[in-house]
This record gives sequence, C-alpha cells and structure tokens, in this order.
Amino acid sequence: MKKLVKYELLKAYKRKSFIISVAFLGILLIALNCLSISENFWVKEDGTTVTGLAAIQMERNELQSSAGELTADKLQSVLESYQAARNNGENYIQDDGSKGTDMNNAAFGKYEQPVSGILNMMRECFAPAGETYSYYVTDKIRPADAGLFYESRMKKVSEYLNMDYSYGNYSEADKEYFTDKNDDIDTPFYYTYHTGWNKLLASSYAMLMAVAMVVCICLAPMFSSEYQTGADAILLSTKNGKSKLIFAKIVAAFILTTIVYFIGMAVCTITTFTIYGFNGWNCSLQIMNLLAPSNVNLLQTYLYVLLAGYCLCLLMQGITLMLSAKMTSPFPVIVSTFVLFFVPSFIPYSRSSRLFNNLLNLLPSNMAAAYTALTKYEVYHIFGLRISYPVMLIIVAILAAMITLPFAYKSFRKHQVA
Amino acid sequence: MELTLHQLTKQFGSKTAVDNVDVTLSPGVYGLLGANGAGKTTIMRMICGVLNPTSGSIRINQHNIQDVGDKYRSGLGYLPQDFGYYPDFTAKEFMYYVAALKGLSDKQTKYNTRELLEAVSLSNVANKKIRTFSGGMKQRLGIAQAVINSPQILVLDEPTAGLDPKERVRFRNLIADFARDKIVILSTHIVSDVEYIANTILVMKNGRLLLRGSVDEVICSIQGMVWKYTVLEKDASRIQEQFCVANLHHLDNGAVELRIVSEDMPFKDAVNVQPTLEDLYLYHFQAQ
Repeated sequence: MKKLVKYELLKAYKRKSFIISVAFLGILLIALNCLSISENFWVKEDGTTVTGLAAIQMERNELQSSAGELTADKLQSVLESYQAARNNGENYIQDDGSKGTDMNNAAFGKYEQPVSGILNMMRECFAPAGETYSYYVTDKIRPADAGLFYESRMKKVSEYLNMDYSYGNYSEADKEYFTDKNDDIDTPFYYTYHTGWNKLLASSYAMLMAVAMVVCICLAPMFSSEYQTGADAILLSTKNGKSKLIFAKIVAAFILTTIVYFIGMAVCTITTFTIYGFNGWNCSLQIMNLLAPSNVNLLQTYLYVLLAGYCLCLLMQGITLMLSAKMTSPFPVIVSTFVLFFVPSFIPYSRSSRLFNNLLNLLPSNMAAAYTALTKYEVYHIFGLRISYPVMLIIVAILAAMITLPFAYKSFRKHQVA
Repeated sequence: MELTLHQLTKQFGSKTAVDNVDVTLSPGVYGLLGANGAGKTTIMRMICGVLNPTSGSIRINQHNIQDVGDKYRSGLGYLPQDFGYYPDFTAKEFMYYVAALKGLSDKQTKYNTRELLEAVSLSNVANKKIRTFSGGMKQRLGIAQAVINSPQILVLDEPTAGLDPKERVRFRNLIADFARDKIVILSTHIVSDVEYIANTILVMKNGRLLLRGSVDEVICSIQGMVWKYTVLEKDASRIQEQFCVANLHHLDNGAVELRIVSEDMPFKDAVNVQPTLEDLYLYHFQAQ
C-alpha cells in the first residue's frame, strides 16, 4: 500500500498541470500580498503622508504604543482627546490658510488617525437605532458615556435580533441563545496594532478559493487520466488494481490536498506577517467586527478559518475524485468542479426563506468565507439540536467529503475498459 | 488449470462484439486470429476482468473469475493493445509500479525487473524516461510488465505491433520459454508470429469462434483450396479482382505466379498446393 501511495504521488507531482498550478498559486499569493503594500498610507504629525512599508512601520509603532484593554477610562480618554481636537479651531486651518470643514492633515495625523480604529468602534456602537454607523456620533456623545460602550453594544445586538426580517425573524429561543453567547464574550476588548491579522482574515476568502481550485486541478487526473492514457486496462487487471490501488489513490489525494493547502496557506501567512507583523493575535474578534457573537481572539479566528478551509479542500477533493472516477479525461473534471464551486456563489439570498439562505451558506463557495461564519447570527436546528453556523460548516464539509469517496471508489472499481 | 469461456457474449448497444463463445483453454499458447472488429480485443478484455460480459461466464478451474477476484488477477498478465504508460516514469519506475500493483515483494520486484529488462533489451535504458522511448521500446516494456509476476495466464493483445523482425524473433523465444504450464493467449495480425509459437489457433469472425485447432488442423479446413497458377503479367490484375490472391510472384520470363485461394479450381492449368495459415486468414477475412 505504501509503495502504491508513493507511486501515485510520483505520478501526480510529475504532471505538468500540478507543477504549473502550484507555481501559479505560490506566485499569486505572494503577488497579492506584495501588491497590498502599496495601498497602505500613514499621515505623519506634520501632515505629510508616507506610503508602503514605511507607512506600515509607522502605523505599527504608533498603535503598539497605545495597546491595551478598551476599559471605560481608556475609551473616555480617547474620546476626550479626540473631541478636544475636534473643538480646536486651529486644527481646521488648512495649508493655504483657509478654514475647512474637516480637520487638517496634521491634526488628523496627530489626533484622529492613531485612535481611528477605536473611534470607528464607537461610531458603530453609539450609532442611533436603526443605523449601523455614524461618523459624527463621536462628536456628540459625552466622554463620561463612553463607559457605556459594552452596554450599548449589547443594545445593538438586541436591536439586530429583534428586527423584522422578510425571510423570517429569530425565534425567542434563538434570541436568547445569541444573547447568552454575547454575554459570554470577554470584556473589556483588547486592542492593539493588528493589521497583519486584518489583512489575513480579509483575504482569506480569496486565498481559500485559490487553494481549493488548485487542489481540484491537481486531483482531476487522479482517475480520469488512467482512462485517457489507456493505463486503466493494465491497472484493473492486476491483483491490487480494484482494491489497494483505489485506497492508495485516495490516500495520495489526501496527502496532496494537505500539502498543497498547508503550504499554500503557510506561504500566504508568512508573507503577510513578514510585511505587517504578527502583533494583535490576542485582540478580540469584535475589534474587527463589533457585533460578532463569538468569544474568540484573532489567532483563534484564523485557526478556525484554517480548519474550515482545510475541510473545504477535503470536500473539493472528494467531489473532484468522484468526478475523476466517472469522467474519461481531466479537463471536464476541472470544468465540472469549477462550475460546482463558482456557480452557486451567484445564487442570490432569498428575501422570503431563512432556510434557503441557511442552505446557501453551506455551499462550497460560501464555505470559503469561513471568517464571516464567526460573525453571523445563524444557527441550525437538526433533530432538536442547535448547531452554530461555524460548527455546521465543518460538519457538512467533512460529511460531504466522506460521502463522495465511496462513490469514487466504486466508480473506478466498476469501470469498464471498452 | 483450465480457463473456460462459457456462452460468452458481449454486446455494445445493438452491436454484438462477442457472440456466444464456448471454449476451454488448458496450458499452452493460443493464437487468436481475426480481422479488425472480430471481437479479439473484447474477448481478451473480458478474460482480464476489465470488461464484464453481457451474458455467459469465464471460469477458472470451474470458478467464476469475478468470484475469485484478486486471486485470479494475481496470476494474470496483460498487455493491452494500446498500452497506457506514464511518460515521466523511467522504465524501472514503471516496472516497480506494476510490481507493486501485482503485490510482489521488494526482492522479487528488483530481481524480476532486472531480469526482464535484460530479456527485452532495455536494461541499458532502465533509468531513462519512457517519453524518450521508441514505439518498439515501449512495446517491449509492455511485454516485460505483463510477465513480471510470472502469470499463469498471459494475455497479449497485438504484442508484436511496432517490433522489428529481430525483436519479433526475440519475443517469440521469450514467450516460448515462458509458456510452459501456462495459458498464453495472443492476438496478432502477423500470422507468422502465431504460426511459429501457437499450439492452438482460434479463428474469430464477427464475434464468433470460427475455427479451433492446431496450425495443421485449422489449415486442413482449406485443404485442396489453394492453387498455384502462372499467367502473363497483363492478366494478373484481372485475376486479382476475380479471385482471392494470397501471393503474387514476378518470374524472370515476364510471367507472374499467383497463389489463389479458391474452393473450386480457378483455371484448368492451376496446380493444387499445400495451404498455409496465411492462406486460411485470407480465405476467411479477405473481404474485411
């Protein structure tokens, strides 16, 4: 069996499609990260702007120096400083001497930019009922009320749960479930420089999609190329051709998927951290998504994304192997898996059925958005059990991956050389 | 050991590729003769278990080969007509891979690979990629992989395709040495290949088994039907259209000596001669 697995891996990695797609993935992941460097800018205290790596370094130094828990005192102090700056007329005098409606660059760089992340959280948290964000609310609230940040957040949660949805409202039990989950979230939130994690999680959808596609391309020939080249006649006439060989192919596919996935994600993660730094792993998820109902930090969030992404790749592996064992050449296998992967992402969410939307959330293309699973207020009721969306994603992916493999096994075993 | 094809039939849609074939094979070399589409490849695929019969059965020592499964296949060697290989594998890697598929031990794998690559004159290119091989070299590698497990039943579909005359002689000798106490079934269009090494000839036509017997026995079926006749060169082409001409030999005096296969005496001066296997093939498959 070990020998067969070795030769299946040898066959796979010697294929041009494997070499090209893996190289393409590596280049793509590095290129995407490197290109994102140019998007960064930082306004210095003198009002001048730096971009690229210098901006990243300045942001990192500035935010790290003010790292800490978002306590009532901290929030009050941030708001007091910001409002003082906002109320100082000198901060509105522009370079040409005129008085503008917004603070000048130097004041922005000195007073708003270093705390913009915290201010934005307050702008979400204290936004009037029915609104998700209000820029000017930070001008209006009293600094002493900043301490009501966490109570206000819970009000927003309650507001979200009690809204009228055309596709169905939350049941009382589900409302209680999500309220309890929010009650369990550790407060005060820890806040520091976390751009590396932000970039990583924001790009995780594209990364997972790319890796899953490469997995499909690498595995598409696993069975189908045997039919295409005519090697099937020899393989199926041997002692192990209808038994151990199929297991060996499945094991080899599993090893390939694992290697491609983890190396791909490692390349992307290492590149991101090299550019932006590792800081911020212990920040609460809520500093990126205020209403997220999960009590996890950014490291835990990323580990979940890694796990869900891996399960997604195993699911795509299963689907690819199943199609590969049915089809007589790798190309239609690749086309079919791409169609199965991408087409459902164009299906719009229903305005009338929460069940339909919940099912849609479990399709492979939506599984790639694993990060958002931790931020959504979705729950599944199966046989009286309440299963959270993040857990459901993993269960469905693993079950579907396991269900597809026997089909692949049987298809190859029963294949007729005609 | 006995391999029995019992009322074996294979249909592809409305086309019957193999039609109710009944034959029992015991150790020996069997030459399967037939035109394209006669059903040779289909019957070989069914014997190798890579194609299921529509009806009928294949039995090894009275047991259905599908029930015997792995055990049956462990004693099987197969060279398909279009031999699928892995272009980026070396000859040695390919042999090792097939050995692993056939469940050979490491020791057996190394020994048999070395011996067989030597036997098919590929030992000097054992570490070269198959993509660099000529058609003949690939065919020899195909033959080597088929026998790596010393199979009790060896099925070779067009094994001499792509081999030059010298290689064909080597192949015949290899099979002759190998065939003792084994069932070897080989199909070929090159009649002389089976004429030399086959103990039994099986002639197939339109999916049916037409004739079965030793070379002499099957040739007997056209005894008295082969004629030698000498004509002027200008008349030769007209006679070719009229009769089944097995051979045409230009003589020094401008005349042509024709070898005609015909149930009736074609011409008054025609001389009856001893038939060969090639005459038999032409007699049955001229139209195809």
